[in-house]
Amino acid sequence: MARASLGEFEHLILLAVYRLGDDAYGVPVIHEVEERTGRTVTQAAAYLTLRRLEDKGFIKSKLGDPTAERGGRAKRYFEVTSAGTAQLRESRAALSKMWEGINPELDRASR
Amino acid sequence: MKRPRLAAAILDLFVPQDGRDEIHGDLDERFLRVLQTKGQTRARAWYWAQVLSSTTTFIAHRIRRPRSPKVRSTARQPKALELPRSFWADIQYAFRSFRRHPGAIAVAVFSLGAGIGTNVTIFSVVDVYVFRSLPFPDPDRLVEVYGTMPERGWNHNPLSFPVYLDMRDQSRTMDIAASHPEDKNIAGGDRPERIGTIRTSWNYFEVFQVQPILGRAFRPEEERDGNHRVALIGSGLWQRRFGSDPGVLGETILLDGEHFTVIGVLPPDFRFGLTIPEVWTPLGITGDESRGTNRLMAVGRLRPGATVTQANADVSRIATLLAEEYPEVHSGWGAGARSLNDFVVPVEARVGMVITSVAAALVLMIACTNVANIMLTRATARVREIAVMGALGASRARLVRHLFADSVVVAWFGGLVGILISVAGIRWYTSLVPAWAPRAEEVGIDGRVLVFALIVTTLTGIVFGIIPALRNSLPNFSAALKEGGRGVSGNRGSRSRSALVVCQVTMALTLLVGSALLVRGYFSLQSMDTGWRKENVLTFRVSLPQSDYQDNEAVVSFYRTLHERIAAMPGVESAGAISHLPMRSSASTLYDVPGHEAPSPEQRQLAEYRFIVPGYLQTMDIARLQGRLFDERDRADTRNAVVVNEMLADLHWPTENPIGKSVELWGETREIVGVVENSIIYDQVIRPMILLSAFQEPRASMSFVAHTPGGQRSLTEEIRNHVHSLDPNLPLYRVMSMDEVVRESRQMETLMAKMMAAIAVLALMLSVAGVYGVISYSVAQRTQELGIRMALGAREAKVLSLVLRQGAVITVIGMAIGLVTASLIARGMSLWLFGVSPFDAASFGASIAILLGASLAASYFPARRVAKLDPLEVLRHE
Repeated sequence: MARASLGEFEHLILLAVYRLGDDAYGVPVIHEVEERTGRTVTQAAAYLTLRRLEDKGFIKSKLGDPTAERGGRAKRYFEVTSAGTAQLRESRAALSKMWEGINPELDRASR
Repeated sequence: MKRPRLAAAILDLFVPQDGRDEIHGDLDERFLRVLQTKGQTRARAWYWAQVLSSTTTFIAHRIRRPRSPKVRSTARQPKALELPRSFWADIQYAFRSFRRHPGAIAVAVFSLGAGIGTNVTIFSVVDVYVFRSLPFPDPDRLVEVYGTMPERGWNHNPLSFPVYLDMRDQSRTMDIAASHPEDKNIAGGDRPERIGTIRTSWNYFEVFQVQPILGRAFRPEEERDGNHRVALIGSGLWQRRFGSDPGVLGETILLDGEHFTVIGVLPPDFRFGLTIPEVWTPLGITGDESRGTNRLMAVGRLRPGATVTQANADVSRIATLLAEEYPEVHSGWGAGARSLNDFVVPVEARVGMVITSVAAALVLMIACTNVANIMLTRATARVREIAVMGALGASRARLVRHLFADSVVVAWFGGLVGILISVAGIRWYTSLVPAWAPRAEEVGIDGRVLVFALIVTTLTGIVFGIIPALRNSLPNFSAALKEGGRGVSGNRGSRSRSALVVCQVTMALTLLVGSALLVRGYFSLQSMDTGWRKENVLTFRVSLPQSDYQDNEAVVSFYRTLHERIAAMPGVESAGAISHLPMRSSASTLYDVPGHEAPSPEQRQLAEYRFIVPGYLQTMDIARLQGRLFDERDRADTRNAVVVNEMLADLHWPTENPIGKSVELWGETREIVGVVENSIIYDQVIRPMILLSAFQEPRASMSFVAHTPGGQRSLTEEIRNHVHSLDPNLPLYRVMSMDEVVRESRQMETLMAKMMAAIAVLALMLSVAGVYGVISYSVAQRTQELGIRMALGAREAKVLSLVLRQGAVITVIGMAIGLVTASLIARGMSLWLFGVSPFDAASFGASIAILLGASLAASYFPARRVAKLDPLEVLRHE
């Protein structure tokens, strides 16, 4: 199979997991993306994307302890794998190369 | 505060198994946070939004992706899955394009939701009464047995005791039970209480196949008077009076002064008929009951192999034999049997359900028209896109599917909104329905109702989706590509849109007229001239148990004293009493006029009769026309006197003075001493009425009326004290104002008026949205034309009137057709119209005015928008 690539939303979620470190489970991940990007994230989208990232090997997960405010349900904590970190690095490199020299032009065009 | 449970359940259906805990946990946690920051309402809305969007995502995910990833990599997809997957792409496309036109789609979804919600609400009621069987074992084997007298047009009469016993003994097709409800005083407890009781034949529970939850049912010998002092009590009473103590068996209860031994307790929801009994006692047959007094409601259970038709023939055979044997009482009488389901839903309710179902169907059609219009507009806007797809080789089927995806998405959301609306609708219905209405507690959302909602949603999706899809999948590709998508205005597309709106206006007017009539009927009921005083009249009822008041003197002296005391109370202008208040029920009897004998028994006249305590007529403001009212001269030892109403007097003595003439009632002649004006008795028909003096011929149960010009709140307790001082065991019941009596008697009409008014408001909103949609679309299409007109000097007013005229023409055509359909519907509704003609000009006028006004307003806004534009801007824009 060819090297798995990263969709835009997957990219956002993967970055959120990375940022959160030890505290990365569903709710904070959603909040992180919502607060930083201003877009709304549905539960299903977050769940499916996290699963997909796990299938692709970019993150791994383990079950945490149940808490009362979750109705006694366990949290699933995520952690970025080395493959995930490599992918992030690669995406950043690719994107910043593509962005080179565009910024001032883009701001003018939007007017 | 918990998360919305229904939403959580919906989500559960679609969540992947292994993610259930995680997703619910996350959602609960986030819900709590929203709840703390934004409050309950916002939090619930947030939760619903999460569920709806997540559900769609999960469904999408499942269609897009095969369950097992291995299948995908190693083998080609099964052919069957290809269609849904390409269709899914269409649906996603639909979603994306909806995001660009949220307004139109919101209108479509709300329209559909309103239509589906209305239908689901009405269906949940109709389902109970029409499609669901009665809550007894083998309900299809139960039949109602009734008497008939075709010559008088009586189709469903109760039976007399002897006739019932003859039927039960002689029937070859069924086992017949009988019952007779009556309210009784139950003594003891905190305060004496009036409760519903029912006297039944010994086999009543056998016929219904209901087992007591405690103790036993009646034995055959307990049916006879003398052995009949046993009782089965309802679960409610058992709980209330005995704290659900199993030791209740063998206890005695005091009903109207008689002791009854409790032998059993019935299950909580056992009930049949229009009353809510709490105690069941045996009939107590003495053998002296009259053959002519018809009081028993008879229910039969078909024996194995027998049919309703056979049962019907069976009882009518018995009736023929009885008519031969007792011609003086039974000649002219027949009998019949019909399925018990037919009995439970009386004709008014049936007509009411048909009216509301038709109205709901119309709302749905209006909604579908709206959605179809929006879809047509969208499809027209997409002509180029379709043409490109067609030119690139997409098959017609593929194009139809592409266009149809829009409708599927709208239908799906419309269905969801519809279910939510019906949840509210059903709650509203149950809050309005009177307590005595049978089976009201069975109304609610269940699997059947949801299946119905699903069917309606699917059908509507097909109805409003398929036509635009078929039409627009066949454009002339090259023409569409050449025209640049602009030349399509003014062609068949806009004509068919206008035709749809004409239909919509037609249906809306029909509904508006129908509900205007019902609402008018409702108000005319409020302000109806009943012929008696409604305001400031306090009423209550007392019933003297025979055991404590054994002779007439005791009864008369009680009522005389109570009447004197109440009339003497400060704040009471006058007082009286009557055996049955108006609006409550009918009590009628056959009578004769000496010298005017009827040629045959079937032609004897029927009159309503009431016993009154002097003062009743003055208190109720019913005017004396001739002669005198009852007074001290009318006692047990003087000649029996009656007061009749004008109608009866005119019937027999149109030219003579009726005073001093006599009528014969129950084998005794009575002298007419006075004539009073006609008044409403229990429905809008004025009937002959005979009033008798309750001091001359006393009755155990009387309803008091007191005219209290200064209000009545403080008086109730004082009256209670007076009654208590006369007899501490006597409950005072049905304490209410005359206004309330009237209102209560018309609860069903009120319910009907409110439901139809709600439906009509929906219909109005939906059709106004339709008119608005069509006009604003056509204005958008004509912007360039209108711009040129303005550039050439057309004034703003001219442009306005051009557009308004278009709206007016559509509306007027629709209303012209609507008037015809409304007249037809109105005639069918006459049974529900109280004091209103089905062709009431005010109702028609108001409906026309409202609809015309609303659609002109709906055309005005788009018209003004374009008239305000700068013509240069408009032209440059093209």
